[in-house]
Amino acid sequence: MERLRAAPRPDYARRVESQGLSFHAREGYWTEDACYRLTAEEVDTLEAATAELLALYDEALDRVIEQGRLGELAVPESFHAALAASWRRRAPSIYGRFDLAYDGRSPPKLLEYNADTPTSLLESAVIQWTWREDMHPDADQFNSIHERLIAAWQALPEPGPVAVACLADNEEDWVCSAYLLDTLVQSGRGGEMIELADIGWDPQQRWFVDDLDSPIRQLFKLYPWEWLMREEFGPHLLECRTSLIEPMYKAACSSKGMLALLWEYFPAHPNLLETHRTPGRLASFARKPLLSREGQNVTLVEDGVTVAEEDGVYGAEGCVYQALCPLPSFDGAHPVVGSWVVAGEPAGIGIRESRSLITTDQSRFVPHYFQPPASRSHP
Amino acid sequence: MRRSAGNATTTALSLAGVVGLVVLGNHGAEFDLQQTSYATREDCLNDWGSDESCQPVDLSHSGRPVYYGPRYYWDPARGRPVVVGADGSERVAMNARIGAGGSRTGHSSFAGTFARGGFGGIGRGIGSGHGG
Repeated sequence: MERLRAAPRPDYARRVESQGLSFHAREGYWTEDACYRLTAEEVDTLEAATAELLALYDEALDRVIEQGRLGELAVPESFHAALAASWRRRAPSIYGRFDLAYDGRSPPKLLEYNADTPTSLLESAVIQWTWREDMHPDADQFNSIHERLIAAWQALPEPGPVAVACLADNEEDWVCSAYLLDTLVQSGRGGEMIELADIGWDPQQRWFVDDLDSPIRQLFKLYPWEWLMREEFGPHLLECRTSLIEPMYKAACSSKGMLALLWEYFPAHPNLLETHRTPGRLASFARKPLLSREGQNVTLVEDGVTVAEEDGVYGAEGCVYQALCPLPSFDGAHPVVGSWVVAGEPAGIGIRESRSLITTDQSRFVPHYFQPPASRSHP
Repeated sequence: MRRSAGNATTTALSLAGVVGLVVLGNHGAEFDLQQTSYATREDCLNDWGSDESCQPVDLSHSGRPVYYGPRYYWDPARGRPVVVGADGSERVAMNARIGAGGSRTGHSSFAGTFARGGFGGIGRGIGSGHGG
């Protein structure tokens, strides 16, 4: 794994804007003045680790539900039965993203699992792919995200369109949602965008309805389950006929509490970091709220000294203490590998890097490529 | 190869254009959407003429289903009800017997009076990104 300086395409700003990445210039989010080059073996390692982590989460969630431990994940008690039911019937999931610390030498280590509302999807699936086509046409990229998303929509068991809901005033969420709608259109299924606040509730027929009062039979929401559960319409989630994507069990998977339970169930697993619910067992650790996003309220402590921290509004439900895993440094940049899962399969990666040791929404997206071995023939 | 080049060429879309293509529910804002509930399937069929228009809904604690006719608006130009599907599609209900004044046996209500705003409050309050 190498970080290389790169010459940006002369018209890159226009190119990425035309593909929907409207916020590329914000904090230098997409500048393509650098890239990562991986080997085919490193890609294989990341793919295998992702599949392994998926298997660990499946087994852990089985145990959590069987042992009645959803409360440890900050899932409200009134939702325990419904969440367990959504897992037992394997309600359809479209996507998720593991964030991994990886330097090309040691096994990838799980930092967290964005199981419910991951963003940076358009840039992972499309923007970096066209960059590779332009800049490294003979190389390859670990990236089948786009095709897998289309296939995942097509494979949903229920027919018909899917409404895509988010808060329209958040540009990053809007771009991610619009891209998902794009894949829905390409899948032949179709859909509509809806602002979350415009979702209505039909108490007689027990549908959530759109802004035209049409029943929403399938709803993709780029909005965390833990918030939905706690809002005014939350109780309707237990009686509604609308199918929600991501499914309710993702509320358990996305809780940082799972990191501690994973370590309890699979101690010393090579892709896990030692994690506990209580302080005092680790001298160097990352303290992470059970429910937090974009690095907020994360504190890094090394030998008892705070070395980095991010403000935020999270943490009321408690924290986990995860063994400190300093991110690798390439030219002073610290990359995190976002390893995408689509329909339960590894689908590709997107690399974000930052100058600080905590990856936030201010990090930069850096494209990657790899050179397939000569012995591998392309289909 | 990790990804087929053929499929990759489909991705270069203007997302703004895509959003415009998929807005559904063009039933015409000048008409009020209505829906009628019936105590019996027979009453519903008498107004709408087909099984597919009369869906039973088990209202959880009522013990017996209520039959809902389709969502529709009355089109005075056609002199017929126009049924609006869940996907926003429209069709003139040629076999319906329901008139401009609504059903004689069922209970009609405007279909545009649902509570809204029950989701999104926490995210708006936090104000930062909601993805991850």
